[in-house]
Amino acid sequence: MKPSIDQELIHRYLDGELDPAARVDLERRLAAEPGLRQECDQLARLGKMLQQQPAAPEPPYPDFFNAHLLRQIEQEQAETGAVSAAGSAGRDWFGWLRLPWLVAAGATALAVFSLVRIDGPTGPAPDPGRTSVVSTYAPEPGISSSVYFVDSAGATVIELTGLDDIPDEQNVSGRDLGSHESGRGLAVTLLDTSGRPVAALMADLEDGAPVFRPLSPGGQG
Amino acid sequence: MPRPTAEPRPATREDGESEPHDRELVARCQAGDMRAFDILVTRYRGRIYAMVQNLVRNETDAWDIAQEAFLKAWRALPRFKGDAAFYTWLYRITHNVAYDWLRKRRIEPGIEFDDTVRQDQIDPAGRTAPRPDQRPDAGMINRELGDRIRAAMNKLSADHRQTIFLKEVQGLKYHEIAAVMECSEGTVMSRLFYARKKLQELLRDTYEAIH
Repeated sequence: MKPSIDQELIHRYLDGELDPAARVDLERRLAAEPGLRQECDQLARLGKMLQQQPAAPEPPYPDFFNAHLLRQIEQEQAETGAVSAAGSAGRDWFGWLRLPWLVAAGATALAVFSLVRIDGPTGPAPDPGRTSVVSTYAPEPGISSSVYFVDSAGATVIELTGLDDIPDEQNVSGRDLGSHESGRGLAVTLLDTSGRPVAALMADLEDGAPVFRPLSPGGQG
Repeated sequence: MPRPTAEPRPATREDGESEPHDRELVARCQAGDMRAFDILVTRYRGRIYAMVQNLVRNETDAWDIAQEAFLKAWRALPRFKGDAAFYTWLYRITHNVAYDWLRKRRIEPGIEFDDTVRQDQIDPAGRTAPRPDQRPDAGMINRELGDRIRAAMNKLSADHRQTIFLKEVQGLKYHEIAAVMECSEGTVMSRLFYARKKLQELLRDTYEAIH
């Protein structure tokens, strides 16, 4: 059974798919033709009833829905080494920072992208502990960084301001953030309060662009 | 009087500020901002979940399939050009994921599943028992009505059920449904016509009694 022209008109009218002129025409006919009006009214009542179904009921455990999904994405990225939807966006160099153990400090604590240069043999005389930080980039709004050399400690310090407070139960302490030279580049190591490394951010400078690699918590990557 | 459409729109917060538009959030996602994706998921998870549940008629499977749909959307976001609205693009992904699932499970259209929690299964003294937010008789009518609608919808084929759901419940336009289901607008109209005819037969007593 194919719909008649009138039936098709009624469906399109009720669905808001008629152009204004056709709508006016049909409304004129509906006013004059009781049979057509009745058919239209019945269909409208059916539609009104169907529309009582919820259009967007929350799935069970809606918060967990998001958390579970984002965790899957992070795991997938960690396993494949793939970056996120950005494909190449800088923020995702730091995706590992969203690991649960870094939630408090993690969102921003190391989200400072630093271009670092270790003075080599051809450069000026090495100054132990002194690292030349070319530039820094903090993707999080409200976070700023400053770099200075502390003579008494013989260390270059990258200081981040604007971070969230770190809760007491969080084992990672900002003051234990340290750095050391490794092979071709630099690794910034995040230490917990007992001095154990929990993660490292590595910059490989030989290929021209820094490559950051997270290490697994507590060990080597 | 034409029915109003119910296109998904960005929510308005309690402070009156509009949430970011989909286009802005998509651009942020493509720049690697997972928080933007989190907002999009929150915005659409209900619609996606409802759409899937309408097809697979099982709460647990619907949850998993909705997750898979969002995961695929995230993977595909770098290739999203914005030619279509984000939500129709997301619906199309969801539609494909759900249909793949249906094919794998070889669920024949017309087989009925009933996940409905019956009222007599709920302990009225239970701490999590639903609170009566409306008059008991009104609530009962709505529940009965919902059950009848679901039972009638379950008698439709998956294509017809999906089409009528996207039109009547989600408020999509013909061309949007066609894009989601990858068919012509003529096919959409045809499916709507037959689905409504069938539902009129199945539900006539119901809607004539309550209106």
